[in-house]
Amino acid sequence: MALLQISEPGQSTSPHERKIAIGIDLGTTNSLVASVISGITETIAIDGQPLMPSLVSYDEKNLWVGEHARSSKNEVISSVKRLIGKKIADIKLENIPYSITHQDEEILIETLQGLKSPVEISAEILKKLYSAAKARFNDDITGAVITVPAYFDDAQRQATKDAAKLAGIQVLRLINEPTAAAYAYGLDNNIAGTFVIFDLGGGTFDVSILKLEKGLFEVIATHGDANLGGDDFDLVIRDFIMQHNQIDQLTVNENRQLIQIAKEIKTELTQHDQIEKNLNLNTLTLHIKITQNDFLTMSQDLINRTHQILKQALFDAQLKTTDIDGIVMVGGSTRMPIIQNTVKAFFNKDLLNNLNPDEVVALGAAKQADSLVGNQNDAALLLDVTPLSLGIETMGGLVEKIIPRNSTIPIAKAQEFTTYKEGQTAMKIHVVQGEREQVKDCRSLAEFVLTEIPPMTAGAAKIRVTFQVDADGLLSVSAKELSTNKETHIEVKPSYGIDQNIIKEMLTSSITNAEEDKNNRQLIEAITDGNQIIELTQNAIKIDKALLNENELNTIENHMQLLQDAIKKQVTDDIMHLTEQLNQACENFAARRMDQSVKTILTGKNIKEIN
Amino acid sequence: MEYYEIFNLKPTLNLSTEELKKSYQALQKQYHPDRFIHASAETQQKALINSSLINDAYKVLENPVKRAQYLIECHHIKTSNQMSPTFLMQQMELEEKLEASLTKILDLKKMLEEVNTAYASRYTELENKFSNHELQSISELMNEIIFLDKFRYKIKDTIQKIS
Repeated sequence: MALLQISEPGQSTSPHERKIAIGIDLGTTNSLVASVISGITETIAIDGQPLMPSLVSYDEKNLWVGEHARSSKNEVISSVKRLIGKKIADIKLENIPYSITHQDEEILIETLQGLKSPVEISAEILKKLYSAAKARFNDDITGAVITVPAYFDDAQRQATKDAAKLAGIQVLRLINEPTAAAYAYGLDNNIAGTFVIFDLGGGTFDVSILKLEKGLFEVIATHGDANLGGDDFDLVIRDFIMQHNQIDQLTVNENRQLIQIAKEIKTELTQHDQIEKNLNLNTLTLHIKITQNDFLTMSQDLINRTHQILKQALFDAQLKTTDIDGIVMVGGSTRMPIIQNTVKAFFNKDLLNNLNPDEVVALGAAKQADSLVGNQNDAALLLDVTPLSLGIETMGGLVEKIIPRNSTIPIAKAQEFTTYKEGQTAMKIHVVQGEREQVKDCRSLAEFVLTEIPPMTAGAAKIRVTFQVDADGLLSVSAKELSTNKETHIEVKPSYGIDQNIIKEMLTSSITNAEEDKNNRQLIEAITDGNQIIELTQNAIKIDKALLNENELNTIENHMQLLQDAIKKQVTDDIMHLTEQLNQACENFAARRMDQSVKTILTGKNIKEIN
Repeated sequence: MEYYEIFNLKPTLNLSTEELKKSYQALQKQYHPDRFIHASAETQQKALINSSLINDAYKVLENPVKRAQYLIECHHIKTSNQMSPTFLMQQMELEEKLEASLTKILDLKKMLEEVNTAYASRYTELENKFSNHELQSISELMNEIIFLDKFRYKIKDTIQKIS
């Protein structure tokens, strides 16, 4: 296949016709909109602020978004980004402070105006951002670039795009958040080289390595931890305060207050070397004294985790710390001096932190939007990569990787399939995302059936299936029967979204699955041990039930039942614990049986000896 | 050879990665879907197909092992999984050696050097065979190169994990 001829001209860059495009950072906690205005990239204020909280609230008639939602006295829907593109089984309901239900697998949020999907709620946030931009530019907006986390899978990207469409926004492109941040710095500071994007948000941590060169932005590796963020540092400070004030237990409310106090101290520690004060928590007076050094010591585990992820990303890119030309700091949590200092020390290099870390993603998105609509002559091209491998299920539940992770997008890969039965006219194809060898360890993305295959002898039909990931990172699939040249396009409706934790798990497990395999082995061993003792006990009871009184028999049978339940639930620790308990419960029984058999033997010997 | 044609390069095993990269960047600047935001759906589709093909071709040609495999495929050379008993022995020795030095970083680094040298010498041999058109006996050599390339990645991975 050669390149196709394209007659239509590419970007039109007529100097007089300047188009307006915006960049949107649709965040978990805060959202922003920015645009290039008279050559300068700036955020557009919403309710007078550059950051709009990503909050929505409803009553029977009205709707509030942003800061107004917080003050509306109605139930506030927050962090909807954690739900978008997911199915009900992916999320932990207890972590969500508002009411959620579901229809089939689709997540729905209960509001006073009825059930709303995460896509609809996100659309409300986007609408408010969009209308602020429209007001600023007299309705004259060509389109928007919207950012998504580097690890967003197909379903989450698709859902984000759907939300934008629902908000009436023309989506020019979805781009990865770290890529947008680099883009902001790349053009602003006119730099070239290999850069690390260190993005520490409230609850997530992402590392990306990008190559910036002659107008090309190439993401060469991404890694992250969906469970590591600024909030974890709040908890570390809370624990420190509890420890130094000899507090063992807190009520839910006190805990919430103390976390808030910890958060404030964390913020103060970005300005001061040491915090010392007394605070009241209900009836308690807390003495708080924390130095920067204390904070560093207590956060060591968290910092080590950031280092591990940095190392992994460097390894994926086959680079050493000395190969890195700069480090871009993104996310409010990178304001912490302990983070700044440890990252600086890790790379032995000064950091790029002169842009506001809260705004840098939106600024980059705005620049990209401006470039896409053709306002920037000699505009930079952004080349992004797939965050997770795409594969298909083969015989025996194994995964055949079709598009490996970190492939530059857009990318297309074709795979030929054949029939294995006489006259077979349909074929099922199961697309999965993930790094592991087995389908059960990856995430199911879509399942579809190719139909109308002309009936032929087994192996005669040749079906070429093409997997296409477009520049937004979205997958589509088409199939062609080669002998008849019959073509089918399949709309891939992602069957599931992927939970961030699962993505993290999928990424790290492919590398460190030794640990998981060890855990699996422990479980299997525990089950084997447990089953063995149950079987032994059952046999013993069958033979020597007479040695037990009713009470003892009941106790042993109860313990057996508990152990059997634990085995069913497959919890290693419980199984081991209950196996031990059953063992103890049988101790006397075993001793009595031993006595008896000794007696029998002795008796036998006696008889022999007598004889 | 279409991958070479896309980048306007001669179909040789040896190529200038600098030239390849330049050509790749120029082509992506020309065909990437970002350049056709305002174009018709049909043109956007064509841009998508072209840009995907350029990415795929680049990925193959920039990697020396994949490039060699691609060239062998283009020349319709028969390949098999066969390796000489001597190399199979060496392979086993290497695996055992790696197993024995899992925590010894200096040993690992020394081993990586050795494997790199072995890989480089075999790759030179492959280049010579290509330039002398001795393509029929290439399969075994290629298998050895693939093994050594994977194996050095494995050593690097081990080093990275313990440091």
